[in-house]
Amino acid sequence: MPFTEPIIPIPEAWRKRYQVLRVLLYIAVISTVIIFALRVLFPTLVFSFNFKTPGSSKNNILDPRSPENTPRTNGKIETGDTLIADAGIVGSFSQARAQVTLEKQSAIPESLEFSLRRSYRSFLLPTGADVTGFPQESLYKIEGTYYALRNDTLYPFVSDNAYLSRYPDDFAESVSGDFLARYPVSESWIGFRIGSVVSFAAGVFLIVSDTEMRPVGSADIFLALGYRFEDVRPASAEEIGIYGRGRIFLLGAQHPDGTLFLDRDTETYYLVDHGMKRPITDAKYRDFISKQQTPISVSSKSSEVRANCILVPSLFGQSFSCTTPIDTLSPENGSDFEIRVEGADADIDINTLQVSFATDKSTENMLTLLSAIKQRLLSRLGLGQE
Amino acid sequence: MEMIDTYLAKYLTPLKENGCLAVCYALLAEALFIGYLGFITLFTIETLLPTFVTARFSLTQFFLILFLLSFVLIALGQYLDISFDRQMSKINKKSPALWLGLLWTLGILAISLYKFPPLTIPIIITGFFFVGFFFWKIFFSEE
Repeated sequence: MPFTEPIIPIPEAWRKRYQVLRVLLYIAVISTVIIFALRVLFPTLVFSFNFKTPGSSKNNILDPRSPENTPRTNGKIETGDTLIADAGIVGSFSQARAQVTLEKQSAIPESLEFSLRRSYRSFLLPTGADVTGFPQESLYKIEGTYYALRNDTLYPFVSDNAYLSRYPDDFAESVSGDFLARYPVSESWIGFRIGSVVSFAAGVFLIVSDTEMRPVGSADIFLALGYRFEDVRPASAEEIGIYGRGRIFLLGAQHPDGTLFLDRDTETYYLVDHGMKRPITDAKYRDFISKQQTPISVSSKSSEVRANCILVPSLFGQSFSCTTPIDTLSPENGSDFEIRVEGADADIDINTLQVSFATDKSTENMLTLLSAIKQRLLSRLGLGQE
Repeated sequence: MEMIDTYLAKYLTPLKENGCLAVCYALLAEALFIGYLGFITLFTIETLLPTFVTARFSLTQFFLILFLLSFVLIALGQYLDISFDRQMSKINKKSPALWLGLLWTLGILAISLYKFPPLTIPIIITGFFFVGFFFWKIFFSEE
């Protein structure tokens, strides 16, 4: 294809116009390439929830609920009430756009507000009672195996490694083998401290209960959740074997019980426990746990910073939208956005909620994406980690 | 059909005679050339990084648009009595475009097939070239 001369002879009278049109064609092509490149390098990430199909896998806004933690998946919000939901996301973003589409028969509110704050979901849990020390248990070391006495039954620890993730070695009283004759020995094993991070083969797993572990979706997700690879405890097949394998742990999921947070503003350590974050007041226990897992650092002040805007009705239909800058919501403060829709002065029935996050056009974001592309390319060619 | 011919004669003949259609043809050919180059680039990126392009942009729709516009170009060329022979005659063994195309094809095949079981690779490549040969015969055969 010759670029200097046309593919067919152009009549003299049209040559000038042809040249102008060619220039316009190239401007259009270059503009398209630039727009496409910008969209690739700085994508707008869209999260949505359709309240008419709450079970759909397409819904990536998580756990719509009331402030009292009651599921609110039907989209109905009474006057003055609040809808809370979450979106898990990595990166820094310049602005968020919210769009709320109401059901046709829904009342139209005069006022409706949208707000966002950024932290870790577990850190936004209500604060519970203080943790005042190690869990109280009678612990024994019998013929090299650690046991816990629970309900007059001896429960063996699956390994020294598992015991030492829960208690210091000197907590267990060394007794002779005769002690085994005094109590029945359970066939159930005690594993790692709940909240531990263990690795087996190429996988990293979070211990979420005494019987369940969940694989972490990817290295990026692991890091975005605030964990460190240095804290991962290698486990054997025997140690892993006592757990059932749960769902993959993805962005937006709440950290499991036993996760340690450090509020860097108040220097307070918190332990996630049954839907609460509990301050650890016992220095010995705090030091022991923080040796097992480096605490996930969060700022309580930054977690309270909100970006908000008033949802205004669109020209047509039942939808409301608004845009708010979110530069103040730092990615260092966590990978979860808490979404709130509140302040309705009428009972409303939401059909869909959509929140779009526009990536900040920064060199850091561009380099992060290029690095991810490089990693993917190397993996594709079998030169990097899958 | 007669109505369409009359309509075309009424509106297209003046455009053909004053050279407007020749300009449209030249611009469309250039736009298509750039479009196919863009498609090849995006296809290569998609092969190297699966879902990287298709997660953001539909390659199928893009190709469909290019395909339909190619038919428009052919129809316009026939109406303007422009033959492809002149363009096709430039593609010979010495043409760098031919060698670049072959290198690209081999590269794409290598990237696509390197994890396949070794025995299936020659079967897929043979099938690929057979299909290519038949398409070439269908589109460019002189018979």
